[in-house]
Amino acid sequence: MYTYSEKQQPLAGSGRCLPQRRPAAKRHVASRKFFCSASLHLSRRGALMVEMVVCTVLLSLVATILVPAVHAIQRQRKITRSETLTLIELNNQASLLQMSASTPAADVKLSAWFLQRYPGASLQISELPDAASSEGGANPLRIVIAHPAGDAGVEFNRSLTVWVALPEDET
Amino acid sequence: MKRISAASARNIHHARKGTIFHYYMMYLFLSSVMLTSAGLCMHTVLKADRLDGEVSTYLRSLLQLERSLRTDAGNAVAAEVQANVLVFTNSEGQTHKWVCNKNVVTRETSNAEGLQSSERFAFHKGTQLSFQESGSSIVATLIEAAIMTHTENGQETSSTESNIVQMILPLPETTEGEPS
Repeated sequence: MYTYSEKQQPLAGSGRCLPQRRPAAKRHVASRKFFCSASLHLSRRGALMVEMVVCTVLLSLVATILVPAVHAIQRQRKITRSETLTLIELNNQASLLQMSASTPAADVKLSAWFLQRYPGASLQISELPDAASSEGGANPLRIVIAHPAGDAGVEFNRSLTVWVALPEDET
Repeated sequence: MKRISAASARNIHHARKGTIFHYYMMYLFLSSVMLTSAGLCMHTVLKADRLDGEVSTYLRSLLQLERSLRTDAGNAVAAEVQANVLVFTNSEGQTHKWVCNKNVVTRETSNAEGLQSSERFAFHKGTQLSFQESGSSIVATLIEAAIMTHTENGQETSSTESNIVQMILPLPETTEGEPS
């Protein structure tokens, strides 16, 4: 850093003036003072606020990305669990139907353990409209388990078709 | 240009010392907040990943167990039902013996020559499986471990009623064992 003095000496032969330089020791002390005062006042002003804003922005960005991702993982886990349990319950209903073929479809209901897990679930058993699909005295029945999307629950609708042996008087 | 005397520069220097210290404190605070947040994020992601893997493994084991049980029950001509032991005998003379030992379920297949194969279904600690004869069916009741059970709100539940999974199997005509 140069410190300019009012006295300037003309450069020999060019007619231009160069600043007169101070001795090295004085120049060093002066520049240090200048930096200490000016840099502290100028460069540090507002720095903390900027850093806080940057931190907040970064944290918000991370939270914006992470929270939906974790929720998605949790939701996927719930869906996988519900699909597995629904499949087990469908197989239970199929077993019950095959064990008691004479039981009217309207009497069957969901198992207690399944209803405790998914209170809003409903069961529907219906005969397939295509009567020609009956094979060897077996009647095709479609079992449907549906669960509406509740407050925090998952929505699913799974079906299974089973061939139930018809009672002897119907065959 | 305005010159600053040595005294005033010293005053400024002394006056700024505390401020710089506060700046450092704020830096440390902000850094710790950032690092803590990053650690929490990593922990959350890793925990979710680990729990997801455990639940996936558990559900896969449960499905495989159910499939094997239904296959054995479907092929069986005779069954012996006890609380922790279930034995199916099929028409070829093979026996499938299901033994529940705490959280491990073992399926042993044997014939007249002896033990043919053995299969183990290991569940999380705290899981229990039991068999019961109910009317014309066999009910396999699995009580899930608490860590595997969450309510629909994402909260773990302490009630055992909502941890139950029941598998209803057809009962062969010839049955031995304890009446329910």
